Amino acid sequence: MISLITRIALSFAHWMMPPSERGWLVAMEAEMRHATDDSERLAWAVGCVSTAMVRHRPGEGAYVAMIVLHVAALIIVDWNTVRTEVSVGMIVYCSVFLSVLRPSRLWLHAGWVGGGLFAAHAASDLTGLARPFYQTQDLTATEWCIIASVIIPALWGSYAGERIGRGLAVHHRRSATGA
Amino acid sequence: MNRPANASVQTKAILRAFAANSTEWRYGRSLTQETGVKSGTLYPLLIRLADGGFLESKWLEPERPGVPPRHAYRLTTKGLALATEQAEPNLGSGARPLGAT
Repeated sequence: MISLITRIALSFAHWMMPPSERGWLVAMEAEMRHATDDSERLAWAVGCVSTAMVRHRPGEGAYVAMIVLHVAALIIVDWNTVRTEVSVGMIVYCSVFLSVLRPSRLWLHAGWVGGGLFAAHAASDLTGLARPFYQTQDLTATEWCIIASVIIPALWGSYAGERIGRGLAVHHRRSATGA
Repeated sequence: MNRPANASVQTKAILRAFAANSTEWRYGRSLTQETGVKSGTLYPLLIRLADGGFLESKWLEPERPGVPPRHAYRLTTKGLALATEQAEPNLGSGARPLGAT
């Protein structure tokens, strides 16, 4: 399990690291190979993710693509499960992740994630096209309210992501100034 | 001399570790173990030091087969000057001068 988490973390770090600096991640991975146990390897993998996040400089295009991909993934997941906790978990993950990347835009992320899912349900219900497999008839007023309430975990996740993102920024600023 | 903006406690610890034996090539893992600075903090510092010309790096062949080559680091002349400069405020308090053996 730990080695799986380590591999996922490394993949994420490689994806996030600017291409011109990926050699440093290769260097970190080489050091990781000299670790004596799984917990040390995991610590190095976390270090890789942290380094990648510090060096990450997303352009506006990549950032917009990130929003689109996350909202699309959220809709696909929600369309294919009846388990509320899975959908809520995905909403929280998407809003936290996006707000860590751009803490100043937390409201936008909550709107895109919560509003995106609501809009997808509304569009499918009103047009009758591509309805989720679990929806056999038009939405009732109660169901509309339930779907509108997805904004709550989206807001919560965006706020949590904003706190994490700003915390990371403060931590690295302190590291940089010696405070 | 241009100083990097990152004259942090961690940076000083890393510079001290490098300066303790300035001719030796050092590995990331040994630096984390020696200074207590975690890898996620160490490598961004190494990247900044290298970008500023304070650090040189190269890949070294492994000591034993089956493990990958390792990226090793040491201070440049400019980096050694920086390490010495960073250590100067501590000289009066009895700290060991950087580079002393």
